Amino acid sequence: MRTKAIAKYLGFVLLFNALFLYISAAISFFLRENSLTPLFYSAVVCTILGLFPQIFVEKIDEINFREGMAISVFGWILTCFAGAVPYFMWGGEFTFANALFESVSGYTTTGSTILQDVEALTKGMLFWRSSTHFIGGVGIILFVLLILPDSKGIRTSIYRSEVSGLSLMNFRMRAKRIVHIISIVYISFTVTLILLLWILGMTFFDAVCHSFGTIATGGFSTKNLSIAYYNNVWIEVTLTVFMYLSSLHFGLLFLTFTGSKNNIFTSKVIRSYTFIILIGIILVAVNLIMSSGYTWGEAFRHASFQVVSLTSTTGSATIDTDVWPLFSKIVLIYFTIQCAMVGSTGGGIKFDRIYLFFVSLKRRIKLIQHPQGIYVTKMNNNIVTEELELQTMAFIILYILIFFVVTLILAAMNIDGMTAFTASITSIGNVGPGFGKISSLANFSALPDAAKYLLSLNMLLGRLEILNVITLFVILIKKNQ
Amino acid sequence: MLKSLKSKIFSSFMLLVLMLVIAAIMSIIEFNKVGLTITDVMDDNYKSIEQTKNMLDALEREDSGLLMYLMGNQETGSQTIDYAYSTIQDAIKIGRNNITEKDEDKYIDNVIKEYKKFHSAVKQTTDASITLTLEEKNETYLQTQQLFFAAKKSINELMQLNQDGIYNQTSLMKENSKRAMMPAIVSIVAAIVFALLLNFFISEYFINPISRLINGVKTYYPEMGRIDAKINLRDEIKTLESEINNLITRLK
Repeated sequence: MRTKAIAKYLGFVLLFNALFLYISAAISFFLRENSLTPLFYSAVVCTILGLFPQIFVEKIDEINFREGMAISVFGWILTCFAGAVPYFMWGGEFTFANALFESVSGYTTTGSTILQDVEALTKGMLFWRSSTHFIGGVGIILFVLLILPDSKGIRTSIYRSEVSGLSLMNFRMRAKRIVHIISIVYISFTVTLILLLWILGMTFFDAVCHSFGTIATGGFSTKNLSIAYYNNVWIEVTLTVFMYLSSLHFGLLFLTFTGSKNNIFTSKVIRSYTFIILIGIILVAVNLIMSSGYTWGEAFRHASFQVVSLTSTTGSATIDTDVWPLFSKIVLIYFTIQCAMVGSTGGGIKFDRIYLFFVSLKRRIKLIQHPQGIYVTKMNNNIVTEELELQTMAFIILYILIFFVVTLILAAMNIDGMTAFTASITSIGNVGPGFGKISSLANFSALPDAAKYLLSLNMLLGRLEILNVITLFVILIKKNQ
Repeated sequence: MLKSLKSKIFSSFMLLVLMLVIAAIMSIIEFNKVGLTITDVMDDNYKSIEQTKNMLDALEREDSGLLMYLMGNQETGSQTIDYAYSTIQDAIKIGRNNITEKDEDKYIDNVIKEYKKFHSAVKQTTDASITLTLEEKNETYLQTQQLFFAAKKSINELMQLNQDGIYNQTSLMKENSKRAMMPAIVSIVAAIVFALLLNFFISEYFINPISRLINGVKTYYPEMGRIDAKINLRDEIKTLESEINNLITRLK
């Protein structure tokens, strides 16, 4: 691995962050806010540290897969630390642990917060906070690839280390084209949602911040009460639709809009995904009507928003779900585990893997019944390789293992069972809210610093899809040996 | 990428200098804000509190003046009341011109309203005191006491507002002074990262090529024809390698 090549691309990552920091600083400057110094100086530091490798390192013509993986993993880690600097400099509720937690939560589009009073932040800081969602939504590495001049093999190497193999199944094109497609869908959705929210009564600033949070499936809000603050059914419906769309495969969305036969309506996986969401909404709504005395309208309004919010990993809230009956909570916990689809901005195990697990299980059962038979695993009429199947199973096992270990460590810190369990699951799935002390209208401030560091790591592991991080560290350890 | 070593080194140090200069400017701006906050506290809030103290003092004196008047010491009582009145009016005037807190003008209006009621009652009592019996005087005095306490309460509320203002400004000062230090702290960390990176690049682009060149010269023997130190850059070290090879050619 060439360290200088990695340093050069990490420099680009810092420069990209600096761009959004300058925009946030400009907002603070024009509104005469006291967050100008933290934002501007953080931008300066990112610019200088980002420019430094560009002075020395010559033009890189090729990057191998290992270097691509290192750029991806270290890029995310570096970004999270760089993003914490303005928070830490601003002070207030941001200790170092809190600043890092907020930054990781923003970039990984988890949307969990340590802030007890979000509205105490200045507009510049709020914009930066939402920008971390926007940058992290499709991944900072992808943004960097978008602005990089095209060089042989560079995009492919970095891109393949950033996205899962399962996601690539719906992209039968070159990395350069994929990056462009993702960006087109991402940016056009964001712009459309900004306009819709603005028309529906949000201020332009709130519309921008909430759009960043929704399309990136992050969930940071500019209000303490999140979406509940607006108490507007049309805003909730619009956000529900966009949260759902953002949880689908961006490649398939693009193909749908361009009139391709391979689209979201013909995809069996998406049909199953939508069907399960609908079942979830009905189960929660009926439970709310029967146990909590909700009217039909109210029950379906809140059930649909919360189920889509959690399954898309956005985590925005219209109500405190912690007071809901246990049955509804269990359904919501299932969606926190299942999460969105591959190729979307969502995190978690992802529905495609669960689907593949069952398709694969069906094939194994057939093989037991007819050992001489030849069966293949198919998803959306594409044959899934044995290697991809094994990778998916390994991912699911590792995911559950990490979630279990983190729950155990949190419990050892004297955190109550429900909080520890849902904090672990919501952080590795990049969802946002849990239950107990960290419910939808609460925050993570009450957790000890050690728990915040652990959950930050968990969020990063979830965003980087675990296997990439483990593979990179295995490579680095072997190299040192 | 810059090609010459000179420009690489110069640019690196310029970046470091730029970072430190901006950190210094930011710190100065933030410390200046702390200074301005202190000025706000000293000049505005403290001044307002001083005026409310004057008002309270004058109010007490006006009450004493009324008591003196009713006890028969009319001349001194009347002078005391008039002096207290003019002191309160001056204090109100200064307070009005020194609004620092949100809704402070409403608090001052309330002081004016309550004081006006009290002062009118005092005047009515002094005007009618000749015709009053001792018991009536006592009863009238007790009635003015209600208005006295209401006026005192309004002044105390104004004082509390300014005291809270001082507390808030002090908290802000604490926050600003912490914020003023932050560019320096971040600069220290960034400078350490910068130094580590510089160390890596110096070793990668200066030390290693020179070592390879030294090795090439050391292990050179005439049959090799030329030295190949595997320098892929186009900087001064590459020029040095070419010149050594030219020298070898000329010596042959």
